[in-house]
Amino acid sequence: MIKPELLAPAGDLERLKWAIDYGADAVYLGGKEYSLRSNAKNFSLSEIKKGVEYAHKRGKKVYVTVNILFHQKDIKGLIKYLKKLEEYKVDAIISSDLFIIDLLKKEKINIDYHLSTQKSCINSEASKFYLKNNVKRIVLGRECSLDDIKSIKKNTNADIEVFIHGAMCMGYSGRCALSNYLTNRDSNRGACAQICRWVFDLYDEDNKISDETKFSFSPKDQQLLVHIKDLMKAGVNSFKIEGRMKSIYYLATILSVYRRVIDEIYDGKYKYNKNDDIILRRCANRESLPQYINKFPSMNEQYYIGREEKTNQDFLGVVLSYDKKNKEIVLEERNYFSIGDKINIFGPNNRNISIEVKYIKNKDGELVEYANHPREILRIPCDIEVYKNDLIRVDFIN
Amino acid sequence: MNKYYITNPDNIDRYIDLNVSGFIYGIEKFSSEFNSYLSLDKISLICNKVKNNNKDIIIFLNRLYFEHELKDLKKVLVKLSKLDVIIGFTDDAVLNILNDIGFKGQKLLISNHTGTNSYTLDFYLNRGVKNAYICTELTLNEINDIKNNTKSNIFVKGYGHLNMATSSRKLLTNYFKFIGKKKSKKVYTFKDFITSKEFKIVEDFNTNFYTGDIFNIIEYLPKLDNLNIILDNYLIDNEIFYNEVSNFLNNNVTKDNYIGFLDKETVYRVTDYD
Repeated sequence: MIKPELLAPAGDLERLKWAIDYGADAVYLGGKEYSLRSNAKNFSLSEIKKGVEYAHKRGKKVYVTVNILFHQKDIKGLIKYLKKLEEYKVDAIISSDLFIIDLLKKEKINIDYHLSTQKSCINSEASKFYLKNNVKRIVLGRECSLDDIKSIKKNTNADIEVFIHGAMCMGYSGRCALSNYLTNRDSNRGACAQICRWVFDLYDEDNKISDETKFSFSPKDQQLLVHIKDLMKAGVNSFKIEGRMKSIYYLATILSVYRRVIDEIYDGKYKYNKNDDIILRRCANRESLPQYINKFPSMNEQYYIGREEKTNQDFLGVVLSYDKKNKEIVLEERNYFSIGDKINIFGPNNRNISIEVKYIKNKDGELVEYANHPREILRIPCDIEVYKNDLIRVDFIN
Repeated sequence: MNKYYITNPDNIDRYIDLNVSGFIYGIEKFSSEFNSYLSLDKISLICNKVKNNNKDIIIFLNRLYFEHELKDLKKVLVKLSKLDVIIGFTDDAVLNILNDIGFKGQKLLISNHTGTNSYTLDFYLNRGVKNAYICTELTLNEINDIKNNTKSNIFVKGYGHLNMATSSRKLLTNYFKFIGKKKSKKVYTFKDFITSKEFKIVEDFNTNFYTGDIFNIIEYLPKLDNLNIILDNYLIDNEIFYNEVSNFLNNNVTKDNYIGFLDKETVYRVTDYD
């Protein structure tokens, strides 16, 4: 069994660092140009350079999305941009517009080409075509089942990347232009308005089908925790987490769980723990299911009414430092907590402790009953040493 | 001079009389977005008739295929390769199989929403695909820019409902199951609350979304030349379609048609959005 790479999204330089510190083997990011998710902060070229340096120093990889579908005028400046990515030693670009393969060759730009999921590759014959044309890795379409993935791997031995967690497109990726038609925002150039999350009235000729339940086609999120072992057995090379616009808390939480699960499976020590599932579900604001991996999605894999997008208030704070002398955590608050609350502190390398809040001190050293000012610097007691950038959340497990 | 291709005609003879350049067909199980589908045997018969009139036949394999469909797909392609047809494909699996079986005929890239620049078409041209059906979300200038910058033989949509999206999910079946009602029609419509525009939704192998309005490029013909124009009758009444095709071939220009993005560029930075 090969140990797959854990690949995390990085919406900006701060998230890149958090992702790597919390266990990602590689990150993917978008530049200011040529990248979908134009709403994310994204990286300037100098930030890409810094991000690559940060990652490479720690033995991690950086992939840059060049994944818009180029219109004729968009190609201006692309060669210069790709040469910069090569100069900064970016490990690969992720793209679905195949002309870039020929462009890299013609311009002698030495950078690997990963085929984006935007190409919706879902079978081994298409995979063979891409491999013959210098694609180094194929990010499979999220419509693939476990059996499809096994078969594609067996028939091609391709380097395969599979999404394991996060939001999904309603349609075949790259083949949905609803945003263009309903809002004039180009979905394949980074401005998708997520029409799949809108609701509509459905009609049979002039008759409305239902007054009570609006028609929508929003899929629930994807979550493959219980299938990680089977995917590793199938030989998947990279596990990808979706969400370049997600928070550091989301990133750290998801990565912590999958990092440990992958390591334990690889070491032959894994035993399913339902708490992992609870942690993954609680940090997202949408329901998540395996989607296509074990069966064809039905109505249960979609939202119709009651989307239940909850604001998550589990994230209580970030550890700034540990005062060994007074055995106190110095933290920056994020959400409300009070004396007597049970909290969980987690960090890289499986650090995970649960304590009860015995007291809270504000920055002036005064005792307070509760923490209710986001970004306020506070102190709470803890006998066990914790570290800068460990995160504090509600202890919903114990 | 433009050439005209008709999808799945109800009556070939009357379109031959109109002097169209060819016909486009879908085949059972492997094509999508046709009013009806032909068997391989039927296509073979039509080939003989059409070729006698010097018309092209294009077979649209315009779906993505799952792993379990590949075996049958190969069989179909072997049979099609023995007919004098142009093979159109969306899934690059088709191209790989055609290369493996040594297909010598013409191939057509059906790019759906993805054929947006001449460089992409050149990628396929350099690999033996001489024809490309380009994206339907392009402006007139973009179409002409692409055409002027590639030697690929360009196909554009000239008439018909525009496909907006394709999902492999059974979105109508799932919805009707959820609300406890029976799905009884092939085509449904949904409305955008903001613009009150209507759109069509159809479920077959996939669930496809279409513009409610019928796209019609006829007013722009003077600005388009040396293109292959596809006139598509999917979800359109046969007689209405025939009259529209007649208008194209006889240069009877109609006005105030729905023209999609021909005169309207999409934006892709939200800050640019106006």
